[in-house]
Amino acid sequence: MTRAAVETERQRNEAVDLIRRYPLARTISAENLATEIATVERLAEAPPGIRFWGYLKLSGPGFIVAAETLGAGTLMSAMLAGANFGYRTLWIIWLAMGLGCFILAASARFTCQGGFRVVALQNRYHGYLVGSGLTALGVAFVGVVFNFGQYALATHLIESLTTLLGFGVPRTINWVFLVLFTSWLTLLYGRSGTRGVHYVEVFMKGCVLVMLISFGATLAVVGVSWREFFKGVFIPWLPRGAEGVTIFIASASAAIGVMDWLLFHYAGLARGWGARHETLARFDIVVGSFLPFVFVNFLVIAAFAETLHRLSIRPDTAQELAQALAPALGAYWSQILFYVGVLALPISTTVGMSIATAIAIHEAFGWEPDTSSLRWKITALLPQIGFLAVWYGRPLWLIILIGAFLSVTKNFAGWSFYLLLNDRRALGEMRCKSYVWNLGVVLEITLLNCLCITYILSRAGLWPE
Amino acid sequence: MIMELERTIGPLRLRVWILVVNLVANALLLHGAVRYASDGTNLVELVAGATMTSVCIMLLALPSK
Repeated sequence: MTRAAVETERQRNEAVDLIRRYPLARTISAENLATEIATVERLAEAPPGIRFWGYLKLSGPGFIVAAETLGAGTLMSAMLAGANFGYRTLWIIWLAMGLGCFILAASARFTCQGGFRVVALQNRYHGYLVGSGLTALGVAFVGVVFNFGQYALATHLIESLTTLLGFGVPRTINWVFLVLFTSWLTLLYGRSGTRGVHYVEVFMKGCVLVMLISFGATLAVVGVSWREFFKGVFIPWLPRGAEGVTIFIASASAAIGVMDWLLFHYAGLARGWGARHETLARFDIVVGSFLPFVFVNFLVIAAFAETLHRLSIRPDTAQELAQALAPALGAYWSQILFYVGVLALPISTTVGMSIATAIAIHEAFGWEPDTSSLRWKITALLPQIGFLAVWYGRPLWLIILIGAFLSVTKNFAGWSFYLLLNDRRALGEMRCKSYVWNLGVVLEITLLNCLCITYILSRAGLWPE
Repeated sequence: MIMELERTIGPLRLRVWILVVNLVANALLLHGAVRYASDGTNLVELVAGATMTSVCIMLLALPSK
């Protein structure tokens, strides 16, 4: 047997083993995964330019995380930051997302080197309350409840967009198209006999691209004050007093959360990622998650800093903010482009959250995910109940309840990830051995601790309003 | 001397105990910071919280042996 044949055989055996690890990966053929492993090995030795484009082509879970994170909530917070504080809070974005990436790297380690399913391991070492409860069911609740906000924004945007195009489709009708489209994409993920995972990843990449082009064009129309921009990116500033502490904690801890950690981990398993994919996974975290999140936020904040901040206009909701900015853009096509860019956010978030919800519910109850089963379809489509936001608005009491749940539990899920990353039983010799990596993870969970404490202090009346 | 964070003390590993102390330290730091920012009081609480938080973070960043 020649050396090349031995290598091919090794890659094929490795692929077969990786596919067995997670049911959603079973739609991948061993030959295709073996070819991907060979490509990844070859790219590791390739010159930087070739490696970059090669990795970009193979990336995916990172973009899914970015597209899922960049939703109505992030948009609202970026718009408000720009409208209220101009460029001055840009530094929080890269700092918060940068810290979040350390935990995403832990998720990548669990996927690539651990080969285990993280919720099952949390259940084993940290108990069902932390694994199935705070982590998996927490993600499922977030997926269902926060999708109301996505529907509220998306249906408003479609109404505004179609009115601008001259054939207004009211939100009481356009929600149907939204449900059909996002449900179809959600159910495509991991479907047997198709390259569903690949198509969903391509769609998410496309959404990120649309956001960047749309908001980039918006900024080109309104202009940028580069001096203020760079000052905002590199010189930390916060409002004086308790308001500054509150804004920092709320903005920094909202960048990335348990859903993102879980989604990245399981989306990696669904791609059949193993030990040889870890560098690719880290590339995907930086290029697929970090950069899109930072750039989209920068663009939105800058657009609102240049317009509403200068005009001292302070609308309250994302819909009002978007509608207030549109006329400032002037030209017809720039308004359309802006609406399309904003629309990409809630649509991609709905798809990402629905996939995360299905995965999380299956992990919480120890069910094997089978995308052809009725159980998978029901759990994946649960967040679609958000369409009710068209008539009843967002269920504020539920959002407050889930917000409270998240505030006081997110840090404990973070503790669990940190402990697994340092656990010899979980990762053996592949446990974290880097001081800097651990430091990043600990800083992130300290930030999440602060979110939990702020919430408790404010409920106890010890935090200024 | 490298600290062994994996040894068990009582029901938990030392690493987990430090996570708990860090949470308490974060609470002290935040409460002190917000009081100091509002009315200039609680400086001792702020300094104690900041010191304890820094020590905990440095310890927790140590990888296991």
